[in-house]
Amino acid sequence: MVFSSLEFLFLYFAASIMLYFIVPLAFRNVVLLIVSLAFYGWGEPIYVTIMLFSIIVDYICGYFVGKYRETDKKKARRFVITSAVINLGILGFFKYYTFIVSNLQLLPFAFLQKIPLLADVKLPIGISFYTFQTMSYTIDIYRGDAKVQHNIASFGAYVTLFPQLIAGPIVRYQDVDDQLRCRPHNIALFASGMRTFICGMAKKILLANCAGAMWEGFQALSATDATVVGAWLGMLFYAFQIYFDFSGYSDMAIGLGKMLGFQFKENFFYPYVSKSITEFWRRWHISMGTWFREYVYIPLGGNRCSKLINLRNIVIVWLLTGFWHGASWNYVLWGVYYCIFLMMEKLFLQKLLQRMPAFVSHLYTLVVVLFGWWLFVFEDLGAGITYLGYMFGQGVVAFSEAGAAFDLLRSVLFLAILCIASTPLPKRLFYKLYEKGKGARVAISAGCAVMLVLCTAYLVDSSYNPFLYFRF
Amino acid sequence: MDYAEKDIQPIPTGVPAKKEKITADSEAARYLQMQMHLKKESRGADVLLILLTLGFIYVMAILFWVLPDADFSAQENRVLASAPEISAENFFSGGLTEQVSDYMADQFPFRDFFVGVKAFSETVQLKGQNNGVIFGSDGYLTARADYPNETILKTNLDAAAKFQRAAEKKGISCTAAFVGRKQDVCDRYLPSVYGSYYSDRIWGVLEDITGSNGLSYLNLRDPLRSRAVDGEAVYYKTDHHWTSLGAYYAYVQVMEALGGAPLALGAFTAEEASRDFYGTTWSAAGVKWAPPDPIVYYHYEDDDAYTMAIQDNTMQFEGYAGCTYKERDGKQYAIFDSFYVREFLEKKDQYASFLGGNFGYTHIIKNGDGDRQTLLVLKDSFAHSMVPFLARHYDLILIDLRYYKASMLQFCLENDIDQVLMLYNMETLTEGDYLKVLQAGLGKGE
Repeated sequence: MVFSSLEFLFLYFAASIMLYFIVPLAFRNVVLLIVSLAFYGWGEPIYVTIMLFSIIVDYICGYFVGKYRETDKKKARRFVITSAVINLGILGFFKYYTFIVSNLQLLPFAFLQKIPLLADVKLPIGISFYTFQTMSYTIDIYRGDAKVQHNIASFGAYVTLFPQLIAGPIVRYQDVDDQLRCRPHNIALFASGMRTFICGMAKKILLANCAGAMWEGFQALSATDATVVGAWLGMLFYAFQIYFDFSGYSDMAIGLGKMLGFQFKENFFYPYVSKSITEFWRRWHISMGTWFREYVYIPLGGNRCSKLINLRNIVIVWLLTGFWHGASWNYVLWGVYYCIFLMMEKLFLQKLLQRMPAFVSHLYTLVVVLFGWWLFVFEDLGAGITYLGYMFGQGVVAFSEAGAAFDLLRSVLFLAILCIASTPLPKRLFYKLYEKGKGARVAISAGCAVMLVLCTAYLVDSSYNPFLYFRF
Repeated sequence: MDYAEKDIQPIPTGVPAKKEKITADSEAARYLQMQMHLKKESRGADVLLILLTLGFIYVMAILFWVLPDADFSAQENRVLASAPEISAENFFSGGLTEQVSDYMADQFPFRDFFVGVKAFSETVQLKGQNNGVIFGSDGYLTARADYPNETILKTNLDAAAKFQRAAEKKGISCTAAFVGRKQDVCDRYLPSVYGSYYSDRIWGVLEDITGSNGLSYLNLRDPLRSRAVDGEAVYYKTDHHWTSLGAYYAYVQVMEALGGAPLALGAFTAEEASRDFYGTTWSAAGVKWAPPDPIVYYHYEDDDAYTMAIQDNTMQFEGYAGCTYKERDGKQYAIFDSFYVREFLEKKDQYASFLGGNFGYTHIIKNGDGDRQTLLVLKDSFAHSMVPFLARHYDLILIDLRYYKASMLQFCLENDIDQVLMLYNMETLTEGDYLKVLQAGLGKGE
């Protein structure tokens, strides 16, 4: 189930919230566990067992890590490794097995060809997110950043916590450790959560989905109707789609968390205003970056080592980052691509950029990011290269034609909305208004309700498909 | 609420971060602090927000359960999803999830209202189109079409050419007439940068194909287009069909091609049968505020003298005024004494009042006049509003090849057909290879 659906809002959310607030405080984690399992099980009725397995393994490992970390470091370490191996094993099997085997089979060894491909094993939703979360639990206990959670329901609630279950943010255990034991529930926090949730939903439904529909139109361009204008416009819409989709989803998660009394960390911080790639990655998918920093980069030595080792660490982190996004070579390339820019910035480019006028460094960043998305979106490299050709006038029918010109013209206002929504401006204006006084706050409340109705309208409409030519 | 410095470290890009004042978390924390600080003062607004949003969610949720399900959406011309069957098997196969999703969306309370809200929002954002329908000037709603499929066009035209040759060899004159889509004809109402979108190109391809396969045809796009340029309402604003007036202009061209003398428009009496026709493009666009079209019937002095028989085994006209069913050779025929089925004027799909909608086989004769020639019309629904004009000159057999599959040459010989008219819209010609069946039974070498 996704948040931006009618069944989530009007069935699941309606029921879960009621249940959650009806039961006494002591049982809220249990309710949270149950409704979260229902949330996951609804979409993945079979794979929910993997999640239960993961909960039990990490609960036990965490227990023993906590038990031995003061007395027998070696033993504690063994349990951390067990947890990591099992979690990465699950992730590796479901996400990467087919990819690895099919690539190995390119080698000319007969025995490799006999390995079954298991192509119908589908990826459990959100597995990349929750395996990372559960791993952080045992590691945080080992490091002394968090205490052992003895209540399996509370621990289960952390792993399955439905707001961030399927698309992040990746919540580290240490960040919610205390909140799992005790968290505030009040009207102000609930209302704040509702505002964040609706804002996220508007980003996802009104901006990302509409931008996505435009991108899909351009992506389907073929040799008979491809144009340069259309290809660039398509890439631009994709860049907006992925940002508003992902950050909208994170906002919805953060908002739902607030309604339930949790305070998750932010996941995006206006990445498209960045003036360097280094800055971009400090603003994009922050929770994932933090995870790789805390659990991979720093353990490898981080930057407190020789320059060469430091560069090696960066390469490892970025190969993993790319690969984490999907089992396909284009994601690896995408990681390598960013790795190269980050290293260049580290070595000399950053200094150069700082001396440039702001718009130059901004433009540089946006162009690099845009071509990054080009690498990211085409899993089929051949199709990607064809599309890149369109962007530079190869294989197109014209620079522009009626359809592309019309699409450009009719998206002028929408593009302006997307640009402005990518900057801190709307949020800052919103809080200025919020501070202004009671009347403004009442207006904001009404505005949020209108947004909710509008999002509902778009959701209802998405299923509205008249059979235009059902009968001529 | 204070976040420690270690929480807001940058991720490992290898470049030492510039000391930043604001981070995502510090900003969020500051704003949350502000909201908590104003807790007491903003309680009213907060309560209002929660009442409005949760109120909306719960009211809709309750209405969804309480309101009865609809079976059919007239707006969309389709059957709506019904309540899914709840069983373990259905659940574990993943089917239930999808069915609930469809069911919820199809049966959502005030569905049409929300569709209109979305259309309004898109309009306000100046997006120029909604659900694939372009908002033209003067209320013209036109479906946006991709560049049509040339291969399908060629398949259809080649089959038509073979059939035309075979029929004429047997002494049956065979005329092809091709009708423009709304964007081909009414492009003056489309946004000027969009124009008629590759209309000339596809009609050029049609010209090339007929040039090489020898099909002689009548172009109905250009004459109607010049009427549209003059501002005449030849196509409905809210539908993809031509109006009765458009059909009349096409009839004049067709009659000349068939070698007959068309009647003057003045010889007919116009009746405005409906003032509230909301057609297919209106439904798709969701623009509930757009004005409807009128539907006009052109009557002639001998209007009462015709009988229409529609082969309809589903007997869907049972109980309609002036309709009786007769059985012949195990098939049911709905018999009408008119070209019009006025019951449809009370429904959404008012264009179906011409000839009762789409059927494979329809036979129209003038009572007590056995000397008339029989014209076989191979057609799509554009022909329906032309029938009231054509029927003055010929007995008509209308065949829709999408629903009636048989060797047409054989059919011509068995039914004493004098002339054949193939009347097709560009949309039909490029959408599916419906005309391919014309090659059936033509014999070798054809």
